[in-house]
Amino acid sequence: METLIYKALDYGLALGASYVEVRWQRDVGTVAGLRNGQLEFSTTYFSEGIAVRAVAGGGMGFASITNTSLEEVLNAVEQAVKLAKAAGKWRKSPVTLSEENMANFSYTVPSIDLDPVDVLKVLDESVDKMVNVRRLVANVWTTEKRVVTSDGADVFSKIPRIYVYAMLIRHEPSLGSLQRDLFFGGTSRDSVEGAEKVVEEESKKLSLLLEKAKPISPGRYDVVFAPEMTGILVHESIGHPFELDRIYGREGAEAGESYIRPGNLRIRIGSEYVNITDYPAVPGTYGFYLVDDEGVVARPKQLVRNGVATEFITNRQYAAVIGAHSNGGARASLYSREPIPRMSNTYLEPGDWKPDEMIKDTRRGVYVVSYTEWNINDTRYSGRYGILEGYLIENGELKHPIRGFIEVETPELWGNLDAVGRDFKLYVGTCGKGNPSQGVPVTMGGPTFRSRNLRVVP
Amino acid sequence: MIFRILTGLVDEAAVVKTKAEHYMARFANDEITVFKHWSEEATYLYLAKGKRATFVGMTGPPTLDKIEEAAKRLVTVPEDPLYVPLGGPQPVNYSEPAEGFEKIPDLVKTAIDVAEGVERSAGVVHMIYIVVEYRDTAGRSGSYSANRVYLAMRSFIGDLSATSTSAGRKLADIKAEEVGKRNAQILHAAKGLPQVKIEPRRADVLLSPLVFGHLIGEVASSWASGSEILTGSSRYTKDDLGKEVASPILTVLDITSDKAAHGFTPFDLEGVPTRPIEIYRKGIFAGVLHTRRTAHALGMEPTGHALRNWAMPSPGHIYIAPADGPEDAEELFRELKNGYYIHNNWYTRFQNVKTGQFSTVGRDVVLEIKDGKPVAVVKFVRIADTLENVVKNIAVLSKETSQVYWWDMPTPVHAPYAVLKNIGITT
Repeated sequence: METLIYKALDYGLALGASYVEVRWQRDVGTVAGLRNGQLEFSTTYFSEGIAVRAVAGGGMGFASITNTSLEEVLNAVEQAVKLAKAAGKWRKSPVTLSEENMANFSYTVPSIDLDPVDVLKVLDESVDKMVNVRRLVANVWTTEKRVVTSDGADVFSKIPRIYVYAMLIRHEPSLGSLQRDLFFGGTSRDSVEGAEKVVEEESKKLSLLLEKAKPISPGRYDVVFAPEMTGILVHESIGHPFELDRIYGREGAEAGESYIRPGNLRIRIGSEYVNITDYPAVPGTYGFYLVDDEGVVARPKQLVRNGVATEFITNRQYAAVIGAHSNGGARASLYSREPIPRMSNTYLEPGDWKPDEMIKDTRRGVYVVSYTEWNINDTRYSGRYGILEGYLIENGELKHPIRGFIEVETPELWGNLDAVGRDFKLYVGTCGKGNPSQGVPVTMGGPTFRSRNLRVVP
Repeated sequence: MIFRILTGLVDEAAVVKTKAEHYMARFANDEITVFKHWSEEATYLYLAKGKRATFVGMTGPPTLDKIEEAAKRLVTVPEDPLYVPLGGPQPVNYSEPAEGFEKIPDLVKTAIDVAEGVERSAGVVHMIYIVVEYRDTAGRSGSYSANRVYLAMRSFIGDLSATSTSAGRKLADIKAEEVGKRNAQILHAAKGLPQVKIEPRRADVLLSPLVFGHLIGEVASSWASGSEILTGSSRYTKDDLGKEVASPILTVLDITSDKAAHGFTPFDLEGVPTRPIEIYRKGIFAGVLHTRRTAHALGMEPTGHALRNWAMPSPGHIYIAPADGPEDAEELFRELKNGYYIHNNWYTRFQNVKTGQFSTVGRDVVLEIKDGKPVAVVKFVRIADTLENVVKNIAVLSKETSQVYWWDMPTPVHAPYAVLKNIGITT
């Protein structure tokens, strides 16, 4: 493999490319599903191939193959260079990459010895018997990558992951219907320890919420968000719009753009208490990696400091656009996908409040524990978050459960933040972006926090 | 070779070999950001021993160790409650040559150049040539090859945007000029109008083929799927077949078998030939999409919709029958009279798949229509309602359909414009 990869690099340079990147990637795993306690499917998969990216003639070309013979790999190099040159004819400015100290090392994370069907059986038995519909899926797999670039990177990584999804619906025609989606995962078997307890508790809550939750009166409330909410809010309204390729329009026709505009990057995004970070190298997390898929060492990306946008998630191409260095944010989900700026583990930094102090300190508000349906416009400015588990706060005390939606614009959400908790928790997700779509493993979270005077509707 | 390896390890096997050649040019700010080619050669296996079954997917040439490794699962997996022996009609054979990719940049240039007066455009042309061979231990075999292509482009003037798409089977099907012209037309209609926000309300809405096709695609995926009905996560049960559940002007078919459809697929992963399936006939719930396993479990006939995997059926291409409504934008606005025109949507999320309670964000220009004329651009609009209201509240369908598909659509569609009465919207 080593000889083949370096021959491919040399061949690309000989064809006139100014940059060549060769990535071998293999994903091997088993995914299974249970439908209402019965096996729905069990699938074993082996995915392996080589991706070549080339900069030539001012453009960027990409080619990937599953047949890894020398002849086919060299053909892929030819394709990538040819397509780069064709794309270059349609560019006003040539593609350039930032200069970096490229990584040279290998690392391996111990494998996860779990059978997805066994994991699911345990979880399924934990679901409250009042739940009518339960669909559980578990995926256990290992990703191996070797990334070699013509400017000096050579990195091997082997990372196992486990991912579990549970969809639970309590449907009672006389009361209504509630759905809870739960996600677990990480890069060690510890990641799913305790999941059965969460499944049991969350499934039991559905009946309680169906019976007790009342629609909220529309209006402005001080909202205390628990860490699950912090996660989705950070991910959608800070992580995505801080991807530098979006800011410069590359995802304009698909995953969208950003409320941050080229030429006006370092804007105030929240109050002085808002500090948000994306950091891949958190051990055991679902979004874990040490080196990105361009061979740049991962480091904490300080997206927001004291309420001001200070850093953006980038790869080498978009770092060059703003005259900066890459911060190791380039990820590719499969051998057949190009590395693009992506989140990893994105979180609000903790503060010094105890969560219950925030509730006691709130006169008229809402405490939101978990969400259902959510979405946000493509510039990540206008968000809507359905409340699954939430409670009215009156004079510092939790009252009855409520149902409704937080409809909020991003500057208001973070601008009105006045208290940040000392607790901290990360939640698992699969982040979508790119064309063809690339789902990458991420986490999102942080502490409990409060934002004043937000719009809540029934 | 594979069947020989499997002798003694399994009772039944099906082998599906695929080779897909993808070409994609992505562009933004009127320039190509990347030109890509990815070639995927894969083998998919269905293996069964007794009533235990497992699926296998592998890229590259299948090897002895991978096949043996996969077959080991048959010892540990529980019995498949939907097990059904291999069999059924022979897969149909179909063949066509691969399209050349060299003209892809020309389509990009045409679409950009025709969008006169816009500030910038972003988009994609994606072309696929797929070759599939099926063979199983029940003696069934067949093969097909087919091209698919679509162009999607989003154009901008300031913070206004418009997306248009064209989908088909060959590069010649792609109407790049129409895509560019339509974007320019919508943006010029919106430019200069005041921009407003609205409070949550119920209103009449005019949905473009992109939005209406998207929502009906969601209905087909989540409510007309045999696996969702079996799970209990569909709004419908088998007993709802034959009942009036939607607007009497709504007729929806899955036309994956149609050679002109972008999603054309002659047979599925189980080798079952696809055929037109009526999902709604004049408002009546008329049919369910099936794999062999889900069909057997519900006592129905397979439909050839094991398209993405063996376990769960999915639509391949949806056709929403047109009616007698107008086609021209100005006439459609007059037909709506008062309400909102939603041109495109994205980020559709369900609060509950069974009740179909969802919201989706208006992605591009949303126009407020008063007395049949656009009077304002509405910012950050969402449709927030149930799929049930979507299918029941259809009042007008235009007399022509467009074949559209883009990155956030669940399924390629032929869809008309639609006027829906009394739909929840919010911001």
